[in-house]
Amino acid sequence: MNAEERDLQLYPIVPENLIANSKTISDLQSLSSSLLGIAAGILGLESYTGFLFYLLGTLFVSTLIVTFVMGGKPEVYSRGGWKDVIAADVTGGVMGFVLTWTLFFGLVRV
Amino acid sequence: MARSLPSKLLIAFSSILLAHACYSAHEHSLLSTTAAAAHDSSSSSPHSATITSGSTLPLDITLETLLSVSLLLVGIVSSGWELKPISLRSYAGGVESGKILVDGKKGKGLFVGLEERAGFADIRKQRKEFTDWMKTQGRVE
Repeated sequence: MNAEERDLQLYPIVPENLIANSKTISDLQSLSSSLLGIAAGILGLESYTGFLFYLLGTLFVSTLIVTFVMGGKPEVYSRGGWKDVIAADVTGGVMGFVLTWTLFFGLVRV
Repeated sequence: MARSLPSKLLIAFSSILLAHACYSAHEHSLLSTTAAAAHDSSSSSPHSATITSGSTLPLDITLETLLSVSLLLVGIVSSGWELKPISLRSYAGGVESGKILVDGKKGKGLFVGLEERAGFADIRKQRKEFTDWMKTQGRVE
């Protein structure tokens, strides 16, 4: 029995809540990344600037989630703590971001 | 997810602001393209100006976009998303004390099935009662 298994035996978790929480967070981040895409499209950002904007935006959203939704205690609601929240936030919404980014870039500028 | 009134207002206000910023950016790109085209119609190269003209946005539209999006994000994030604690200890404690509602009502704890089962039958007492009853029956007959 390694350290992680031992930890799980000592402090059991509720898998349903883990799944529900990650679903809520992924809902939030897909919504917010689409909004960031709208902003990037309106601002007319191109290539690396746009992705830098996305990175900064998701960091902002992660901070908001940790502060408002989790009440400043991310380790209560997700296994990895705030690192997990940021990682899920940055990787999960890129597709939605690019979608609305290109859409609004085309809408505003053509 | 129950949205509170301030976050609703914030979402509505910043959506309008974002729509306005989008419209302004669109109008600005239209205006600068047509102006540049009119200005460049006399000169020899009409294409070079139209390509570069739409790239700069006025500062007020940029600021409006950034402000509206950050307000919108704040409004969405603060509109009553609920997470449940993942550790069994705190979740079970919350359910038992009524701090965490299960399906919108107060639960009785995670182990209610074990706590509220029927007790053991006292078979000696039941046998004694049956014997007494049998004796009374026998006396009557």
